[in-house]
Amino acid sequence: MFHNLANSFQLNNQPRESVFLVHPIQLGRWLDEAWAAGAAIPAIPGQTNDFLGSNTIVDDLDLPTQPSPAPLLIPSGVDPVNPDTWNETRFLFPNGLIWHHLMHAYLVESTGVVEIFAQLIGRLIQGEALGQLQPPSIKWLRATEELFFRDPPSFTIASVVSELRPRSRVNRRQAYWRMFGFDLPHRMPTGIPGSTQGDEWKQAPGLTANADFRAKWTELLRQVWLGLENRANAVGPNPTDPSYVALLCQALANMMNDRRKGGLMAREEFAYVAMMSWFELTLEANTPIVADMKADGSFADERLRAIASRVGMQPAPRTRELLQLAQIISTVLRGIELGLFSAPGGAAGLFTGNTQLTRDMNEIVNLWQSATGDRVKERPVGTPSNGAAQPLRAPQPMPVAAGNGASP
Amino acid sequence: MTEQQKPTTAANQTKPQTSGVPTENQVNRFLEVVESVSASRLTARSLPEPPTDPETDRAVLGYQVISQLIGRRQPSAEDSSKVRVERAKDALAIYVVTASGKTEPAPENSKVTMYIESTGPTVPEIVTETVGKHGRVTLESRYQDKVIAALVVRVDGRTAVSGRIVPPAQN
Repeated sequence: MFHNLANSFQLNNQPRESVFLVHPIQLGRWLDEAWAAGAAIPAIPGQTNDFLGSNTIVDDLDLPTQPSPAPLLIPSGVDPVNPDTWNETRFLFPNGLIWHHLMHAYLVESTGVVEIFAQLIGRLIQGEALGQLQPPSIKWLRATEELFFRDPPSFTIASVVSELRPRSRVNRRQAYWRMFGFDLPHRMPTGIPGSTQGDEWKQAPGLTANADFRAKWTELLRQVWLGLENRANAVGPNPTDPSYVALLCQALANMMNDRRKGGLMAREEFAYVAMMSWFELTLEANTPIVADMKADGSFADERLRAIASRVGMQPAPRTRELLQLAQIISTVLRGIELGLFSAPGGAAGLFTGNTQLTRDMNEIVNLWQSATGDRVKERPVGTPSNGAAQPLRAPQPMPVAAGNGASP
Repeated sequence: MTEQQKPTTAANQTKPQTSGVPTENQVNRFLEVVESVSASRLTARSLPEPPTDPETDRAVLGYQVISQLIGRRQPSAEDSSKVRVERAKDALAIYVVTASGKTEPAPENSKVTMYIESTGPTVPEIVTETVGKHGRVTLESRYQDKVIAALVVRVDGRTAVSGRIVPPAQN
């Protein structure tokens, strides 16, 4: 999400980290404008399912239409040429905007980035042990605290905390649980506001989870790997079966869209992805706060590790893979959810030729295997399907269940 | 002159074979044969392009469009090329931003794929055109009032995807 804003600055020959110099009140407004841009996306070629489970949800929840000049709601006025000005207009998204899939937020948060930055910000605002910050870092600090570590302003699209769901940490875990049957790999911190003990949140009435997402997803990666491995076969058998891959994609699309009926979880996904993209952008380069924390590195995981060490913490062991996976896997899951690969012809695109899509799938296979330990490139020994290219039964979304899940 | 380029002489042609070890001449001859075969046949018969299925094409393009709208930083192959389109009633002018940042008309004879947005429940229609002089592509009359959902242009092996292009009247 904030990547799109960074891209706009970059297109106007400004540094990407100009995003951190924009005033938080403008960023808050910008988020509402970004949400509304979701209604302006073109029809995606190959799309068969509704975006976010409902074609009207973005329009239903966006700001009211108002005559110009705006008497009620002032536009964000973010100027991609100068982050320190307000230009009186709504931000322009010429082609609309698709935000990342909830999986992006899950993978980024799995690194422990939120807890590490929470600890860092806590120390920066309560003491002087971490040294003096330069002005750009002070701006980042203020914006980060105001946007993500306090109750969001009322009536904004990212305001997904209330008396009925007061803990944002719990809310995010619940969303991940519902969509993927995954809990975060680290425990909820104790003793700070927003924390809770145990897993009571999994027992919320009516909470349902896609408990078999991981099994289906891993099987899809395995089948895609078969396709990638055999795509250049000119002679001999080729166990690749696009129809079966399409069935898997369809099952995944169905289970995710079941959680999105009528646009459910759209706002939550938007808010959580916005938060994680902010932290991802912070770590993307040696940004001012990274430099001030003397955490320069050549990749995001090194920077996070160095920042964590300043506050006596450690990120997840597979942080590098999780961060590398986040954006790619999110794009693929959006495609699956929209039905791009639910027919054999479309599914063949996942492993046919040398396209951005096949390169991304190859990368996902490698990174997912490394991040989770799921052996994607070989069929697990001892399974009923051992030795066969695919299991006997066609995949279908299993009845959803609340209960124990897994985390990569 | 290298060993392989040495001219064949009558002397080494008549040299008797010893215990199955190939003579220098036989090795040279073998290398020549391999070279000529690979030059004439093997390289010419490079792996065929995979067959293109409109459904596969649509999915691949859909994925590219999502990647672009989601704000992902594109891998290098796509990163270095961007596309800008000016639309008149009956024609498009297509410009690509080169790796050096210069905006130039799309090269003549490059291929452009357009996805025409449908108003009904049908999938977008795929139209492939060839770029004319000055990056110009003529639009058939039946597409002149239609929205182009996305346009893909391939230049020097790089791919650039445009956003939605509406007819001038709807601008």
